Amino acid sequence: MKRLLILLSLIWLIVTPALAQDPYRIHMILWRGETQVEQGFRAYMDSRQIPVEITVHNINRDRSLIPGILEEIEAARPDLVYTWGTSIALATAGRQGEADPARNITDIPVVSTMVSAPKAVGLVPETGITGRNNTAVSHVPPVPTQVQAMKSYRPVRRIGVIFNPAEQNSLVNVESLRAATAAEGIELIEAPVPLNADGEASADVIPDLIDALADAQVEFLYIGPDSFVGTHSVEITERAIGHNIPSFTATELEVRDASAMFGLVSRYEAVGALTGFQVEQVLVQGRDPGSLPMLTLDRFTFLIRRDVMQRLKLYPPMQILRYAVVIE
Amino acid sequence: MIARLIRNPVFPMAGIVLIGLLIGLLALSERVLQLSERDLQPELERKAVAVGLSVRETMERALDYEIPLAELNGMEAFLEVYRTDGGLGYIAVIADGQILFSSGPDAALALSEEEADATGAGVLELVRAPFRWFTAPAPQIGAFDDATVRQVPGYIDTALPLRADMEVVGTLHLGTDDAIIFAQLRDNLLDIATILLLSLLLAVELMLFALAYSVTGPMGEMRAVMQRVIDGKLGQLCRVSGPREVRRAQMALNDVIRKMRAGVGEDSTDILQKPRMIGVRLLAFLFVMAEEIARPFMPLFLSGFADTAPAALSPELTAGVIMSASMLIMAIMMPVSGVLVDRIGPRRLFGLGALVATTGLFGSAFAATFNEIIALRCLSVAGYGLCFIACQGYVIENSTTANRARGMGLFVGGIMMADLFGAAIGGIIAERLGFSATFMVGAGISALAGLLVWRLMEQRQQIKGEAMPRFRLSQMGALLINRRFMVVAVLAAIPAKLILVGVLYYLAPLYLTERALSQGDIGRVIMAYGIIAVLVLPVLSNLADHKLGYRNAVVWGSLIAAPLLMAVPYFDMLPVTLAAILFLGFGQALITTSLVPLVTVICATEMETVGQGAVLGTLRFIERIGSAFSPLVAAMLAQALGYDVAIAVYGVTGVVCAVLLAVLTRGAARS
Repeated sequence: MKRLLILLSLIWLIVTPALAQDPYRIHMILWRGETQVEQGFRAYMDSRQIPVEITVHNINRDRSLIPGILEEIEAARPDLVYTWGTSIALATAGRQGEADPARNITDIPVVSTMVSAPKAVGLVPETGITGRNNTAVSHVPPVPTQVQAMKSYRPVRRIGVIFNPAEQNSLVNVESLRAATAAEGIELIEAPVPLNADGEASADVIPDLIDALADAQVEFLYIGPDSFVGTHSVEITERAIGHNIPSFTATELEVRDASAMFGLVSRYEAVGALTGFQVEQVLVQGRDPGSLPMLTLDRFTFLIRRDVMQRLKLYPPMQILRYAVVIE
Repeated sequence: MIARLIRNPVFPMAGIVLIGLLIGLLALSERVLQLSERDLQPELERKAVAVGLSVRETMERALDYEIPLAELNGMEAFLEVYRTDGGLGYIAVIADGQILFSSGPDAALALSEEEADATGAGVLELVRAPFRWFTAPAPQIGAFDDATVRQVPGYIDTALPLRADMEVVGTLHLGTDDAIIFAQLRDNLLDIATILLLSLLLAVELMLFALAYSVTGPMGEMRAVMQRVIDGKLGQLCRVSGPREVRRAQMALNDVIRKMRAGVGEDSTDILQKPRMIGVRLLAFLFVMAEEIARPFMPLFLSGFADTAPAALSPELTAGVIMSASMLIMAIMMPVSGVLVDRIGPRRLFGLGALVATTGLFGSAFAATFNEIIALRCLSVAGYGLCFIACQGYVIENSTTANRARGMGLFVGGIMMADLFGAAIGGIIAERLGFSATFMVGAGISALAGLLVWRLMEQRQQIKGEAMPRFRLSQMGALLINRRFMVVAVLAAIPAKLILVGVLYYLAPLYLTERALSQGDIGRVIMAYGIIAVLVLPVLSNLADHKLGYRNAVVWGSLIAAPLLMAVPYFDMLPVTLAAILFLGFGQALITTSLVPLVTVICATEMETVGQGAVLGTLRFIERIGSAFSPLVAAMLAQALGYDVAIAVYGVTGVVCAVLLAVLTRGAARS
């Protein structure tokens, strides 16, 4: 974060803000309305005095709306498309090497934020530079770092994970989690959500899955970047607390809005600001988005929910408390 | 002797002045010490408080989250980090009279009710007792923030209350090892004592000089003139110089002589002048001091130029090469200066030498590369060589065989005083102000010597002194085939210089730096060599003259000087190193006093044929060759074996040479 701020202030010194510029037209496609990420993004644009005119398309968790919105955008020809989350990013820009001008936006710059694992899902290649019309910003710390964070809170032998096998990014993440836990000698108890005939996950089975994990005596419930789990996060984390199991997450939302006890997260405002920086490169500096490397914050926040910690009587080590952010 | 001293009016006068000076200096020293204590102790306490405040901040945050004090998680690891980072002896959390959490082996002391018996403080008090007579005790421990500070055995304990919801739920204790405080106070005390000693010494030097220059000197001349008048010789007037009262007396005397001349009809403007040699002592003191103050850090300083050295020299070798180069310049400068002193005279030669040395020293403060520093060091040493020969030449020109020994005594006395204290004072300056500042002080002293020479050396009248035969390299041949001379030169003279330069000038400073000694302490260790020499020299020379015999003195000196050096790598202790250096000083003092008389005895034939100058010149030249190669040898040994083992190797060399010397000169012992 500090490095980023230095970088930002340097750029601020070098580049005089664009004055008397017509507002840049940005279209946002959001998963569930505006979040603190967009607040951080707008705040960054304000502080850099970049005039923008933002049109928001909110799909409200309904992927079927995306094609229509993309057609709208193709017709409106904005200066840049901003997308939120892995699903929208893939639907808008397409996978690396599979982008289709008929279904994807290939001739307007696309900046995708909140993509948990851009490389693993194939949005960007291993180099992080697409060479196409898009680039990305990720908010998730590397999985081994997440496992270290859990270990630092208390000794761990068993971790449980609940995930939707129908979600590509969730599967990719669980794959990384298997490797990271194995490397630490930690047993990973997996609880994939069963799919119905339509291939969709059902919320009815959640209590049973959590109870089963409790029977397996897991010490943490791991909550990854998974839309289904995200949707039902309150129910999942509360049920776990009932079994005295704390939940760990890699995204801020589950600590704030659900009842995850702690997480190693990127603060959403910071992710928004980092996205703003990426957008500025394209709009103001005139850089080709295909030449910009994907970005991740290099400092993460250890976020603890005080009331959950008190309910579980599970106090963090003092060393963590030195730098942890504790919220109500 | 003592009765004569007391009858001399100068003696009680000087004594009174000295006592007054001593009292003033002691009072000043105590004040300085007090100020340093006042600054130091709170400094350390403030550090403990600073660490304590950040520990408390995190702990109180946890308490604010309603985590009970006793259930704080991972406290040991947490406290350990702060304890080691803050350099503290212990950190402990106490609630209800129990230690809840702690870090550090002596944490239980935080509970102790009793105040310290203060053993460390007691020792310090003892050392300070003489100072205490003059002023009130130093201010005592204070308090910061809401911290309370007290002494427990071995530690200064700083306590901070821990609060949860405005209630005090426990206390945080932080222990600062009082050895840290005492070590720093001891350093200050030693520095102040060194400076005090040096100030006194300098005061004595200046006072003796002033007395000789303005009182006893002119009076001696008056007495000589009067004696001539009594003998009926009116040919010479008295020189008019010195303070007003003295000048009046001289003028009155001259009036009397002129009147008497009028009676007998004689007339002459000739003035009696006894050459004044006292200035040489001060000049020698100054030019040696200028070079000597860089002694304790010289090898360390020079090794810093390794990265610009050619052929990727290691730091050790870089220092060795530069020191050897400058020693070699010294060996070469001696005969060169001998020629110069005849041409331009001692006064101008000294001025030239001081200018060259000042340039070298001043430049050394700013040298950035290997080439610069080697050139500047050689320049500085060359200046030293010029000044040395200038002083020696001045004494020879202005003395007769009758008073030459006394003149040389003044010269050597000045050098010895500077040798003695230069390193100690230089160490203190280097420690507090840095290497560059020390070189600049050296340049200042050297420049002062260069200015003073115009007052302290009289202009050359004519060469009155009996010329001393000058040493020429061609005369060495006769001596090189004298087997007994060569045995003494190779087995006693060369090893002595080899060890002096290699160990004292090169290895010891680096070894002690490696052992984390401060520059001030290194200076004092080096000073120990000079002190022991000064203390035992008068006794030893008497011993060598009468009881022991010169050969035995040299053999015993060689045997005493070296063996303890071999112990240095086996005991990683300062006292052993110090003892080794004291023995080195003692042994070498014995060698120094006896080597020249011994050589004059065993070279009796050559003394007749080529003269004393050539014999002693050859000896000195051979010695200096030993000096010149020593740093290089020491550097190579140190690089291969480490400083401590290298010192031991020098010890072994010394012992082997001493034993060989003893065996090969058995015959001489009986004769």
